[in-house]
Amino acid sequence: MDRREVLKRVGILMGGTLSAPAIASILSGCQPTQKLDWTPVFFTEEQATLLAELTELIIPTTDTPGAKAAHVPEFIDLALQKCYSQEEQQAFVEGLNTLNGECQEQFGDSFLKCTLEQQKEALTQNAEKAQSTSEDPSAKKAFFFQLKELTLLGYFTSEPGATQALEYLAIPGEFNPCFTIEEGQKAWAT
Amino acid sequence: MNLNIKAKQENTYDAIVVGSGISGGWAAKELCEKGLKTLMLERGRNIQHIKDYTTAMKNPWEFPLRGKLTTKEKENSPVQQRTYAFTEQTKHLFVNDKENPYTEEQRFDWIRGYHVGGRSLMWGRQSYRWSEMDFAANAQDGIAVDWPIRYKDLAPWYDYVESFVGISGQAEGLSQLPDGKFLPPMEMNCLEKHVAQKIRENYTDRIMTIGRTANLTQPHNGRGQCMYRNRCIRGCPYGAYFSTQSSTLPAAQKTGNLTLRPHSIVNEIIYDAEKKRAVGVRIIDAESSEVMEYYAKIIFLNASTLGTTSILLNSQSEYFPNGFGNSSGQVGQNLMDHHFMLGAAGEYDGFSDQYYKGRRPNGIYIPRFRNIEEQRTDYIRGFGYQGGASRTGWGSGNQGTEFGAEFKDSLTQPGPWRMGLIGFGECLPYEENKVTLNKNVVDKWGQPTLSINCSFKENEMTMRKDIKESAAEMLETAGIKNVQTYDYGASPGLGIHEMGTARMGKDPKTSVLNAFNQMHDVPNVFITDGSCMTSSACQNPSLTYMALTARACDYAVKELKKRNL
Repeated sequence: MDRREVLKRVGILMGGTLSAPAIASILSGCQPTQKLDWTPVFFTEEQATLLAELTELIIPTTDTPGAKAAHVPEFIDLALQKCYSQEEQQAFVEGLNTLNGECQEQFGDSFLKCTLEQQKEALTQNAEKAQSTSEDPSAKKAFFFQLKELTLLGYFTSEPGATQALEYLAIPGEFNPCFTIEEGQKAWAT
Repeated sequence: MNLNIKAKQENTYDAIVVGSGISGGWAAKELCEKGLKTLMLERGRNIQHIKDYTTAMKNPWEFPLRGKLTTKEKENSPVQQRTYAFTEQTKHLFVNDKENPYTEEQRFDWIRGYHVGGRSLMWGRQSYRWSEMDFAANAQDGIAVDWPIRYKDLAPWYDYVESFVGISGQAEGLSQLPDGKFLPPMEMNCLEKHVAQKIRENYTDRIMTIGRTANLTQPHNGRGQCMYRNRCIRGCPYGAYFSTQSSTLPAAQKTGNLTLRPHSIVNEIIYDAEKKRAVGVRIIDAESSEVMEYYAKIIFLNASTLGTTSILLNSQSEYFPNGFGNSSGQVGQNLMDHHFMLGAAGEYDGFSDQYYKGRRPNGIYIPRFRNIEEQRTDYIRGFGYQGGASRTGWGSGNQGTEFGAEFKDSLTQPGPWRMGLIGFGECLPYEENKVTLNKNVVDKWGQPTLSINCSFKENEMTMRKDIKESAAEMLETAGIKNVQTYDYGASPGLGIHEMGTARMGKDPKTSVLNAFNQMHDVPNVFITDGSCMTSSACQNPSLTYMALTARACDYAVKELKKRNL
């Protein structure tokens, strides 16, 4: 039995509501390494480490690479430096700080020192707050949504994201307007 | 003295074409093929076919900012960034607004590319004929002035340009959107086919067809067929869509009659009052800032609607104190653009086991159906829809509070089907929608710039209500769920179909050009870019500019041979 098959069976045991990739994430649920192997151009080392863990929470490693392996934190670091105004940069950094503060308050530890479950809980609460303010059209886009958008963009346009999580055709060569999907068909990357 | 004569001879051609975009490319090709030594002047840099399409073959991850623009780029091009088309992948094809200023008395999105090929490199490629109804509309409604031509005058020239360009499309036999010489059509995907079928079943006055596009569905005139990458806007290495570089420029160069001079900003047309003819143009070399003169028997202005208008307005003399060939006072007036940025979209439950493969650089088209048989009471003219169906991708994950492994997994699978329609409406010509020369704001060569004062008015705004409502109604009729209408606002320019500022007409008192795009005031000057348009119809206009250009070139060369010019 291969690894995927094991996970699938575990999935059935657990009520079948979790997909294999989700289970893979649970089974590999040990704390991720928290050391940067790159040098940020915009964030401090500490901010970048926090950012990296957040992107990995949003897009974890499953049976395909996660955000960190796809160099999403590096992309966000560069995008913040090059594409964000000073005001937007500040707001983003404040967003990181706020999230860290929320962890401190609730769990008595900074985000990076919290357990994975606590980190998920903190991000969930942060997301729900963001959702409740998103209904006001005049409000600036909340930190959570900025983070999520950048993470998804960075991930799904990365080489592992586009070619492993999704299916990428550099040169399709033809247009097939309609075909019946077989199991395991992934979405096109572009 | 002798030196001067020699210099003048060296700078003398049979014809000068100002601009190298869609219509300029056509003018150069036609004039060269008819044996005229032709100088094509382009204000921007050269872009060589394939070699200079620097981003064409790059994968998404090869763009460090994944399409985003830097704050610096946004600051430098506050106008260009209003179009979706201006991205990290294409930014080298759009102007720096700060270096190329103009004044917006009201918001007007002037989207420009200053380089060989102009916007033929970045255009949307949708190619539709105008119809008898469009050319007769002004006369019928008593609006502005009548077109001096009718569909039958242009029909053979549509045939001619389509045969060269290669337009894929489906013949539908509609009077309001005549069929052309089509290459095989691209296909609709299953939801589009479903919606098209429902529209056929439920309406007698309209159809949905596949977009008619200048993308090759089979090899054509030595150019390769579409590879369905949908990266046209970066330049096509296969030459699979029509651009100056892929199509008209090589044809012109093949004759040996073409001289292409990039970095040549035409600043003024030189007029000889005794001969009552233009004798040449004065340019500023954009690299050296040197002022030079070039001479020719005929001049074609194809600098784009506002570019040509700027040259005309800036060519002031005692004979033409208000601008070149502007005895009518119409130069700069009647600026039009299609109004769009509105429509409806929704989801479809079904076809969940159906998908498509390849990125079709084309959508669907719903030709105009309003004010054809019956006249509405609330507005005149009409609109068409572009649009399409697709399955949502990872972008749908941007909303919502979800994250994590399940969430990631869900985004890797084809999402629900969605279908959307976006309207493109006709804009009437209004005298007060105009551009003027602004001597208070000068460009980096000290030359006056344009000031634009243009807005959509009651007829357009009333039409917009119908555009939105009709889109939603059709989608709902076709079984699309959760249909939502949208209107992102109408500011002219963004359609990038600006036109009308040197209009054709029968009467020299009320128009700038005659039925052959020849200036009433100066018979050896022809204008065949968008500025010649007397009304805007609702179809994408480039194909019509091509047909008018080929026709005008044919006429100009015949007149030249008869020694009338």
